[in-house]
Amino acid sequence: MNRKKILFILLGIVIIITSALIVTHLINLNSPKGFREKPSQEYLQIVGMRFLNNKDRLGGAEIIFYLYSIAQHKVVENYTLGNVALYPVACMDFTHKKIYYSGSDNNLYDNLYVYDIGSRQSKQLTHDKMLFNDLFMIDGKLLGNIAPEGKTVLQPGIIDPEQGTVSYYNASDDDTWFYSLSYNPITDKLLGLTGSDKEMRSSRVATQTHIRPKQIILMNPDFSDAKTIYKTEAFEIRETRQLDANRIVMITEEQMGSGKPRQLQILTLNNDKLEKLNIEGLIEPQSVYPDKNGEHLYILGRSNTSPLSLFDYDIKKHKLTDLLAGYQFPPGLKVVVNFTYTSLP
Amino acid sequence: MKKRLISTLCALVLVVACPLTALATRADVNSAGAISSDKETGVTVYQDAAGGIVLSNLPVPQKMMPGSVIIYDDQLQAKVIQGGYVKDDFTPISDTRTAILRGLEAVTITVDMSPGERATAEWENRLVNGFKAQILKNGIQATQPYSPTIYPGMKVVYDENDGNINNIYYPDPKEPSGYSIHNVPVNNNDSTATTLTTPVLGQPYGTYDNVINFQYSDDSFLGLGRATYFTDTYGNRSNTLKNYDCATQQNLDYSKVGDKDVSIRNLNTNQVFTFHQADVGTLPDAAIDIWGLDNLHILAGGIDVISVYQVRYYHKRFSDQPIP
Repeated sequence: MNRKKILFILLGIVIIITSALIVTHLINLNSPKGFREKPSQEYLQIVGMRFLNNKDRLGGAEIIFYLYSIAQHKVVENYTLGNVALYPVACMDFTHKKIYYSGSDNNLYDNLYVYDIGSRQSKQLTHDKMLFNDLFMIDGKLLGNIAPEGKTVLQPGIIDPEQGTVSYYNASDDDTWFYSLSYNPITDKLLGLTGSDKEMRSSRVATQTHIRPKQIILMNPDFSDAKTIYKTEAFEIRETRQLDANRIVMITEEQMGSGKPRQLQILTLNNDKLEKLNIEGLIEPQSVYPDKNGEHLYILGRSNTSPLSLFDYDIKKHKLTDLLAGYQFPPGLKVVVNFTYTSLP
Repeated sequence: MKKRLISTLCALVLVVACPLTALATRADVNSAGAISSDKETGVTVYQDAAGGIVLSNLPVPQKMMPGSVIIYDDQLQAKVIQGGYVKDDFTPISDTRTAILRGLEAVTITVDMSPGERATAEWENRLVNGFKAQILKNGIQATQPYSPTIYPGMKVVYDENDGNINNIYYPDPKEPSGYSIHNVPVNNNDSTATTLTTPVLGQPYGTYDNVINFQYSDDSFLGLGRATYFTDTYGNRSNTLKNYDCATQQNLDYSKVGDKDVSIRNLNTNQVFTFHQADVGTLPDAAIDIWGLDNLHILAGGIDVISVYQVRYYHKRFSDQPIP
């Protein structure tokens, strides 16, 4: 082989490699947000509760926060946040290394607190008598499902942690419950499950139907453009999450007080089709969150091997995995209460 | 003259009481722990765990004249606000085992039931049959009076019809009435408070053979016995109480969220109602407490009652409850 030929081959190889690199770079630049090649930043934020007397809630309770890394398949951080009087909720501000949570200094009612991970100090942010049901962040904004003092129902609110104030979905409405509130980053919509307190307490519902009429509402994160996308009183709905733009995953039961284990159903919006989702090994779901791609369901519930745990259900492979199997909880922990799914951009 | 008379009477009381204390021996202690008692004054002589003799009007009388109300003072002496004392025998309304097994009869599933009704009935039957099997296998002890801890200011209200203990209220500055069923002082080290008994899951308490059981296989609670009513304005989470709200027994079925519906079956009318857990209370002689007399009347199916016997209630474990 002469020298000229070798030089020509080498030049060809360099051109091929350079072209491949340029093409790869261009593909990455044009990929949608969240699909670039980078380590998965998906987490489950788990809220647990420990009873101070190691026995029951009568002696008070404190919130324990667990951060579960889906990529690492384990709990990577946990924090004891402080006392809670009513319902424990918490969410992490990954940017500022803080955890917002429902806390209390009197065991009577809750307020919003923030826990600074660096200093390990908590600070009270609101001075009301609140009951929280959901707490999560959307693009740096803190949202909750909250009943302030004097209100019966839970309503979505945008929280200003600096001012300690809440802007409610409809501050004058004390009849419309938001039984469930969640956010889907792909559709960039809030999903709410609503019902009337007055109807819930009507003789018809309490003594005859035992089913609360429900509406599923979709709206923007600032509460604008709220639209009712589904109504029913044919069965009870307990929780709703967006699987994608056209499908809702729901936890349902036949009626209030129905003894059958609650079940998962998929509602397809463009044709109102309902489909039961039976998961082998899962006895009853308590709460559910789909992942960002709609390929996994994370389920807090009861299985035939665990009275209460957090599971990963791979929708394509039909595989249920107990994520907390073998995890050693701190002494005295009695209840894992709720969780949220988070995918960092 | 009046002052002298009072001093003389006080001295006489001391003279009478001291020998009574001194004469009491361990052999005199009856099954309930009491040595002797003066029903007219409410004074009862007790032997404590250390063998000492305690003069007190503990425990809370299980029965008074119908409609009686007593309030305990700072020395834990009961002051009769309304009504009066009667012979304070603890007499269950019937044989405990018989009463409980009667209350655990399965629901008949009929063809005209809706799928939801059928599901509810099947679940109720699983809870009922599970508890019944447990009793038939292991037996059940006779019902015991539930004598809750006494605190200063505690108010005890007695049934207007039969005089049995109906409800207990605690001082609560947040309530318009000044009392609530849930504001039980949390300081268990309070030297003035004396704990006598605590109800236990699966074991009956009170005149009405009340019993609350937890069934692991269904992750559910089942209660059986009497339904009373209460009149708080706010529940134990500062919530405004409303129609179809109820309170559960705080030692056995405590919650601050009440996020599962409570089904209550009136076993006399066989009708099932859906209630919402919104409070907790001591419930000294009841399995479930209904908010407001009107709602109790709805449950009862009539207006001539102020409690309902026999009811059974059931619900799935609330999300803030530990698995017992």
